Amino acid sequence: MRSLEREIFVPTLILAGVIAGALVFLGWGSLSQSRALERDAEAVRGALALAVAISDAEDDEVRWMSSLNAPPAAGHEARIAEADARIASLSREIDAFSLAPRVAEVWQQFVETRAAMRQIGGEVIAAAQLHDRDGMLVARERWNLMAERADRLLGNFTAFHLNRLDRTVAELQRRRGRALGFAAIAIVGALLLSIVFAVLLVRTVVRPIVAMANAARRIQATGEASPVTGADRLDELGVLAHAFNAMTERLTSANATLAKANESLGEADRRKNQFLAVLSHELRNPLAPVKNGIWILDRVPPGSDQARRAREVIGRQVDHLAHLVDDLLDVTRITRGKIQLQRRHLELNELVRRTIEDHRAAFEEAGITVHLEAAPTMVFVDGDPHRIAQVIGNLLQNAAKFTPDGGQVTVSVAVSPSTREGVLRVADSGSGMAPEVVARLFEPFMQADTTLDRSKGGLGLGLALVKGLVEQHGGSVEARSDGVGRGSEFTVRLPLDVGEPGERQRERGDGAGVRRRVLVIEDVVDAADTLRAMLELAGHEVAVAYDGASGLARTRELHPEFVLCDIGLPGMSGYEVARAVRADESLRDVHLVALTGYALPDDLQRAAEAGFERHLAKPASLEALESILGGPRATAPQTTHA
Amino acid sequence: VVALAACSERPEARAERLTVATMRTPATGLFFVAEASGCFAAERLEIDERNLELGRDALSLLRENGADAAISFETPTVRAALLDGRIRVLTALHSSTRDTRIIARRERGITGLSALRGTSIGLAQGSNADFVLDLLLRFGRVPRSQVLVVDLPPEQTVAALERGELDAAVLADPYAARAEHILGDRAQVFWTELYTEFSLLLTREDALQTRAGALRKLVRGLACAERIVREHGDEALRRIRTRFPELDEQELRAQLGRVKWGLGIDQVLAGVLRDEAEWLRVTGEAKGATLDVQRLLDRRLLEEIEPEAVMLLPSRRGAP
Repeated sequence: MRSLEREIFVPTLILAGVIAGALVFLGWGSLSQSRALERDAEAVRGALALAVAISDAEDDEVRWMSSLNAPPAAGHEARIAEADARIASLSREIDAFSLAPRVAEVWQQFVETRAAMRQIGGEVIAAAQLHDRDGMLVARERWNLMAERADRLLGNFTAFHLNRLDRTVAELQRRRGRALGFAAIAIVGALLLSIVFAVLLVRTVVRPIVAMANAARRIQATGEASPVTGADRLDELGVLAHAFNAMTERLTSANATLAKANESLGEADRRKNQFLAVLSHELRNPLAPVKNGIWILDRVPPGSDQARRAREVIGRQVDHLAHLVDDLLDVTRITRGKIQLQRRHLELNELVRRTIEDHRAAFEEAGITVHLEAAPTMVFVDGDPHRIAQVIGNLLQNAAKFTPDGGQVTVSVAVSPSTREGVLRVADSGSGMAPEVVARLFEPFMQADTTLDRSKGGLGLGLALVKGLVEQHGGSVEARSDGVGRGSEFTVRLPLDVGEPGERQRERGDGAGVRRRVLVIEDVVDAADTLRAMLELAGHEVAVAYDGASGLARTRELHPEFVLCDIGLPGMSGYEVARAVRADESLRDVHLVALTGYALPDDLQRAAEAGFERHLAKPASLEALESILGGPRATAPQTTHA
Repeated sequence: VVALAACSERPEARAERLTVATMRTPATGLFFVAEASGCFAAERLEIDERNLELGRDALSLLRENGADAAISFETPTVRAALLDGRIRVLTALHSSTRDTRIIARRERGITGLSALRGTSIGLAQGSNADFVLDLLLRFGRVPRSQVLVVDLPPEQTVAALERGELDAAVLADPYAARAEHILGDRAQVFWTELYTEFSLLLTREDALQTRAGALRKLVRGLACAERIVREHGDEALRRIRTRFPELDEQELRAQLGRVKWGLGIDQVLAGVLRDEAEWLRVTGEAKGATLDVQRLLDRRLLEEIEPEAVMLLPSRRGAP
């Protein structure tokens, strides 16, 4: 992976280094050149100053030499000598200079010319002192010519240095121009480089960040995924873009899931509220006739017709209530996958026929004709006869519920050779269903009838139970309707059981008629006493204890074959009683059966862990009790319903 | 194709040709050193040399457009410049105070400058010999009218002096040296430090305009020769010996000892040119013509090639 820091920092460092190096180089070069030029200029200034001073002295010398008479005036010669001495002194200063070869030659000629002048000047003065005016004039003409030559050579010397000064100035101007040019190029170059760098920075860093910021704003505003480009880059921004895209994808996915879950929760809440209302309605309805029946029983003589009818009403309504509670528990078990099937090799035609017969009264009462189309051959499936009957019963009840008086219900059993399934169809000529109802028909608490009077009754769990139970058997169920008022058809498919009937098929040992020694531990006295009465009527020997501690004591005392123990006992719970019994080796053969309103799967688990072998949900029917008292001991708690 | 053709034929690959009129004297030997050392060839300059006896003749050829450049001493140059405003001095080639001199017959009593009065003196009129004679006669306080000046080319002057037809002659090397050699002990030589002789590289203004590149190469070639002379003097002398087969090495070395080769345009040269122009004005030869020395001395090429060789003060307003 490339590092963004390196991508930006390294070129910047190199660029800065190059610029700094170039500036140092230019600065150093310029400094050293400036020093050289300064030295040159200083030398030129000194040379020119001396040349000017010599020229002045020469002018004095010429003036005094020109005004020389024969004989010379007093002090005249001294003036000439003084000028000559001044020139000689100044010349010595120039001798100390380091002169360029050409100007050194000039200076040498000047010195030689000055020597010649001194000699000729001596001749001039000598002639003047000798009053030789002609000789003085001739000598002075030569001296003048020599002086002119010296002046021209000094002019060369001066011109050389002036020209050098000019060249220095020109060089300075050239360098100034070059420096200005460099500066301009440097400024323009730096500007261009800055622009290029800024553009690169904007393209490589700023734009991706701005894109991510915009994408973040869009996500904030809309909640929808907004991927950014650049995830394929090999630097940190690529990593950031990749992570950003992954994050937004996960975020939006999570949002969608949450929204869906929220919707589901809303729907579930709505259905829960609806269900609670329905449950309340359905539970209250049986209570009124029960209460009425009890009121009648309190006021009429026992055994009278009124008392008999009242008991029948109470019995029916209690059955109905128990049926509602069983449905609720079954749905919970199916949902949690905790239902236990008692499978066996059973014949579907016969089971259907018996179940229809069980429900025929309801159909006849409603004026509905039920027609069975049995399969021409026996149809064996591997199933729990009680549960399959429950499935068929629910479908029949459903058909009865939604088929008007005079309608028809057709139940057919067939075999699908291709899928090796037994096929059960329940078709009615009833009210039918809208497609949207069909789609959600098998969901728990789903009811087509949502009117306040709820003329059809029920909790809306029947078809959900059908679906759950069928699927527990490895089968499937589907509903079909051509529309409202055009009837419905439910099809159940169960895998055929083509093997030999084995152990599963054998009927369990029927305990009917066997007298058992039973201990009931129940803190609700009425419940305990009525249960003892029921069991005694069934021919068993029954003892009762009203709390856990006394129940345990009674167990040790009586050593019963079965202990029917409530869970929610005061002082010592049913679980503690069970654990105490199981801890007592002398009580190993005692069958422990939990009898409680705590009938959810977790309760079964806790009961098993405490040592209970079976589990009965309250209220337990006598049939359920007999099936336990007469059957073999289970290795794990099994729930049996009334 | 055009681009390739343009690339394949570089302008520098073609040598430029330049006609130069020269004079046969060791004093102007810097030109011969340049030619013999390949300095011109290195500049891709092909020289068409017209070698003449006198600088005066070289100047004439230049003025007649027979040459692009010429080499001459300063006196003919001043004369020509007074007549022809196109003449330009590109650089001096040498300077000397002892090259041009008077060689007199001592046996005729000429032992001092004043003894020249009444003698016959041969020289090439219009040359610097004329100016030197005037100067020395002035120092000898001999009016020019009191000598007989015989106008002869140097070669004939030497012969006339040898035959005794002349008492004296004003000559420059190699003729002066030959005359001294012929007279031997009978020769009396006069010269003065107060005269500086210059040989000059000349051109015309129009040639400077049209042949500037070739003239630049010419000056660069001479600068190359100057460097060779400074660094390898003996080698330079050896290279020009073939130019003067009549001189043995010692004689050539002696003659060259009297001159100082070197490029330059300076105050001394400008002063000499002004002095000679004034002399011509005084003698009536100039006839009212004035010499613009600053214009005559075209410093541009030399300043470009050897800037330190230019030692010319800025012209004063109104100065000639």
